[in-house]
Amino acid sequence: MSKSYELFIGPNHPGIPGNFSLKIELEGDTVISAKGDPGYLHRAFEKAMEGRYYIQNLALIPRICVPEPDINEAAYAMAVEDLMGVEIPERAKYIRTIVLELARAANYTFWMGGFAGTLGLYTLAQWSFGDRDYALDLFAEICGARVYHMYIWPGGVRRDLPPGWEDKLLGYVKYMKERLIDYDNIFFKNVMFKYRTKGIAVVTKEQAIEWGATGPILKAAGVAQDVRKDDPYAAYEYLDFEIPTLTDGDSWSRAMIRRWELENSLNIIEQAVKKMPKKGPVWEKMPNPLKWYVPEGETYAKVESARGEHGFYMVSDGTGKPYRVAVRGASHTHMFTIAEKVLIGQRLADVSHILVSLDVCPPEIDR
Amino acid sequence: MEKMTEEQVKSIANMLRKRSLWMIHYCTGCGAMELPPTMTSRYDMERFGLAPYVTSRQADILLITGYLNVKTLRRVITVYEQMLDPKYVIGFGSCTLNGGVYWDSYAVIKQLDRYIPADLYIAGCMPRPEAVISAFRHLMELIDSGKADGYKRYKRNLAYYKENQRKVLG
Amino acid sequence: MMDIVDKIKGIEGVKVTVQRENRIFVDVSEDKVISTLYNMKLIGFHQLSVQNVIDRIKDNKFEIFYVLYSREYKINAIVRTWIDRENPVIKTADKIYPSAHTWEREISEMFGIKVDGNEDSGKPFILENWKDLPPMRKDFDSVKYSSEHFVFRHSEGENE
Repeated sequence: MSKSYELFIGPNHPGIPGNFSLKIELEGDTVISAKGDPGYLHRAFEKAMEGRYYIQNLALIPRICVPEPDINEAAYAMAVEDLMGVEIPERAKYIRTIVLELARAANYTFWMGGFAGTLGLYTLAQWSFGDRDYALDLFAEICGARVYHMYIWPGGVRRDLPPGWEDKLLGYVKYMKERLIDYDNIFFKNVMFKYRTKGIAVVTKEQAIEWGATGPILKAAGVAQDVRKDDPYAAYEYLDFEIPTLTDGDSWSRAMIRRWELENSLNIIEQAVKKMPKKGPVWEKMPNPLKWYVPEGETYAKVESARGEHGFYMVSDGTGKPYRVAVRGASHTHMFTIAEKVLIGQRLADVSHILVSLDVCPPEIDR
Repeated sequence: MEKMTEEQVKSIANMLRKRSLWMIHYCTGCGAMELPPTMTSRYDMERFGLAPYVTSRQADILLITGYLNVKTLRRVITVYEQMLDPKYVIGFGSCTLNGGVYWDSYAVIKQLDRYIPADLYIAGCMPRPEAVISAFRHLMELIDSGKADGYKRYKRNLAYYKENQRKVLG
Repeated sequence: MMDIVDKIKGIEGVKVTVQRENRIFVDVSEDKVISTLYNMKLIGFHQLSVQNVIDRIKDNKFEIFYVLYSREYKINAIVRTWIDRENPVIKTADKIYPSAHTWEREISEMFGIKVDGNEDSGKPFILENWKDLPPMRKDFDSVKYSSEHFVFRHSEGENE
């Protein structure tokens, strides 16, 4: 006679990606149902943004997604620019691209460490968290903060790059490319990694499209959909890059896609630094913050985050404060529509690495 | 050999205690982002005898990393009460001090020390790993001198804390 | 771009506005939403990016929008509809777009809108023990609520 039992994973659990809770029902050690319980990180961003001026909201938005805050700034800035009909300077476009790709690279290095940690390979975690700090140092140099930058803002970027920063950036890219070989040797070519992840938590192409997946999940299932290519923003249309795809859609493919995306980001940074206009304005002048009235209208601005499509739906009623801002985080769909279905039939030991391989980011879900 | 006084025993216990602090692994807010760099190779907090730990029963430090949602507060109080004495609470970031940028949010509490006693606060959003390590060092000094007595205050003023908790948790 | 606009115009009861390149607004009446979404999916809008609500308190309406995306045409279409603010009820779209299920849970909690056909509508999702008005409504005052429920720190040494 078999008997099922319930188990709570999180919110206080080392295997959970953030403050998030999961209620799973198990039979033996096989999951028969999983239910996510969000809300531990709910800060009421969408409500708070309605009560603040456009410039005050800049302090709020990076905090929506913690591992990669720059995408929020970019999507917010793009939404405001779209409503106001502002075209940003050429140099600002390139700087935005560089900053976004640097943030993406930092996020993937962070993700790698977390993923390896859930599989019990802590060496990579030690390495990659250390390497991510070099990217954070670069951020600290351009804006003074390691995590929340508030560097991209409506009209361009807040200030020009400090002298000599490009060389440091290229040094970082070169260093990371060398490190990637080490990462491959210790982790991505590791037999244990393949054993643990091959064929686990498969999301097929049909399922991924039907469930509304975006980002690495969709790419790992064989669909090359990427906002950077499909609806180019910043300077992506001038740059040459490929969208990596695989066909299996399992945990292994998703990890490999992220590894290639990291390499992709480094290549994009190199190209952007080469092509960037060396001089020029970086900010299109915006009105006085207290009289910053955005014309009436609604718009949807989207960017490609490390997890998928990240969008801001912004409604303005012509005053100095946004009427409504709705945030679309990729994890919202990935957790509730995909993870809850994919976890069924998996083993308990795999639950936390599946969640990380789907890159569920709780602050994005709760907001 | 002369018998040690109670004072002496306490001071030796505090001295030993401060050198092996285990921090519970609970990412209550976005400040948890700066903890992996603090734990791993670059800042390496293990050199001070600090390590993350998974269960509340064995942990000494509860680090409140950033804002506390009302829903999380309920779990934090449970975790805090599960921890064994002596236990220390560090409020990390401006949000635990006064709500920070979430001062007008209906979901975030504004003062951590109304609900559980905080021994130490780290101001800023978000504090850098150096600040976190400096806070740990400061906590060690407080433990050594016997000033980190939040858990005693919690017992002494239990009615005050419980009333505040009830008021916000309903 | 134009052929897809013509295709959408073929759906019964829709009003199509092209805002700019790659973005279309599709306005429908309350009772035609589900059939419009179904037809939009047939046309090729396979992905629901976000579904949410705008509280148009001046018109006494809730505006419900669905941001759809088609990879084939690389177009974002935004389906909008308006419902009454009193006793708001919408029909579920989770049979057409599975990801709508969770958005609807969020809507029903944050705006107090009942979702017909969604078994999780009305159950607590993000909030816990919430007794006030649904918080995302415009007539809910967040500053007032937080000053009533939480104590702000004013000066040194005030506590204890």
